[in-house]
Amino acid sequence: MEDYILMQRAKGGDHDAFRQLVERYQREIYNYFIRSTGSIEDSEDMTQHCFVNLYNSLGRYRRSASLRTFIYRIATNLAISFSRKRKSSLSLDILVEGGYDPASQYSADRPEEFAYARELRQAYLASLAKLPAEWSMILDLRIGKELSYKEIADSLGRSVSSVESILFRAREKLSAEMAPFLRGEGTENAGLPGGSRKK
Amino acid sequence: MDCSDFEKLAGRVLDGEAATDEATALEAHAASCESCSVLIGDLSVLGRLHSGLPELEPPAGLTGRIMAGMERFETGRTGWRWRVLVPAAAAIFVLAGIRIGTQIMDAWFEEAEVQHAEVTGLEYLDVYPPDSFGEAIELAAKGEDDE
Repeated sequence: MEDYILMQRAKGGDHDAFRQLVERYQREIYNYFIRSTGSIEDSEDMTQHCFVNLYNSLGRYRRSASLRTFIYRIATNLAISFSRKRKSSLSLDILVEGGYDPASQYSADRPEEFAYARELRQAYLASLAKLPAEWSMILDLRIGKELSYKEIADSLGRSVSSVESILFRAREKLSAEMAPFLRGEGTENAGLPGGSRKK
Repeated sequence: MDCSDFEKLAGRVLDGEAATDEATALEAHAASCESCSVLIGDLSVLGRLHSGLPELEPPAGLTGRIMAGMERFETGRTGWRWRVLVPAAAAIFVLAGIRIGTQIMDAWFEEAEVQHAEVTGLEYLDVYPPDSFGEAIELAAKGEDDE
């Protein structure tokens, strides 16, 4: 059933309709928070807050914006507020493991390649964690969640050109940070796939 | 297109936000410029690294906890009305009580003053009403003169 219809029903007090929306979006919102906070506990709390805020905002939702954009707006506000209060630096170590396709080039029968892929990811996550919070969120909304520039701009209350400019600077900084790894200079596995192109 | 334009446009092309002619111009430049060719390669690798990040499964029971939180919020919202309306009604009741009490007390004091006047009496007013006071002094003065 379409998001808008579910929102209308939820607005009328239909809890089941709201539950369907929660089930539809909670996984991606939870993962958005994981990448913003690096913490499972905080991400769970923030996902709960996000949906309670959504429930509280049912009356403000207009069909002109997609519900997904509307939810990301709430989620981004929470994530920015969290990042301002964070006392320690962000660590995304919880994302180092997992998600490797066993059928890919980094298969278990080629452990060196797997180690290289792991090292590259670790370096990427460390570089990502060094970006200003909003930059990494915008990058994740674009690459991770595949939102268009317009949708990101709507989610953040920014202009499309400022979103584009942030993406440009974020990529510039990431490629500078990652250059030694991308060229195979900063790894113990220089010369392996991924690094071979740059040698 | 120069290398600076290429850098600015590369992200838009990778994000699918560039026009077809811009993408064509970018490709043409990359084919003739080694550093820009490396740059677009690096940006593609970064993109793949990001999109390849694992997605974690939300903890079991998260939906239930969200729904419970939502219901608590709803109860809180209704409870908020009660928390405001009940004290407001109590305050109105107390103020009305004070007002009625004041009126009763005023009426009682008024009656008490009348009774007090009756008890103590102001009999001299019967002999010397306020408008005759000057006359009494005159009479008294006259009596003194006669003596």
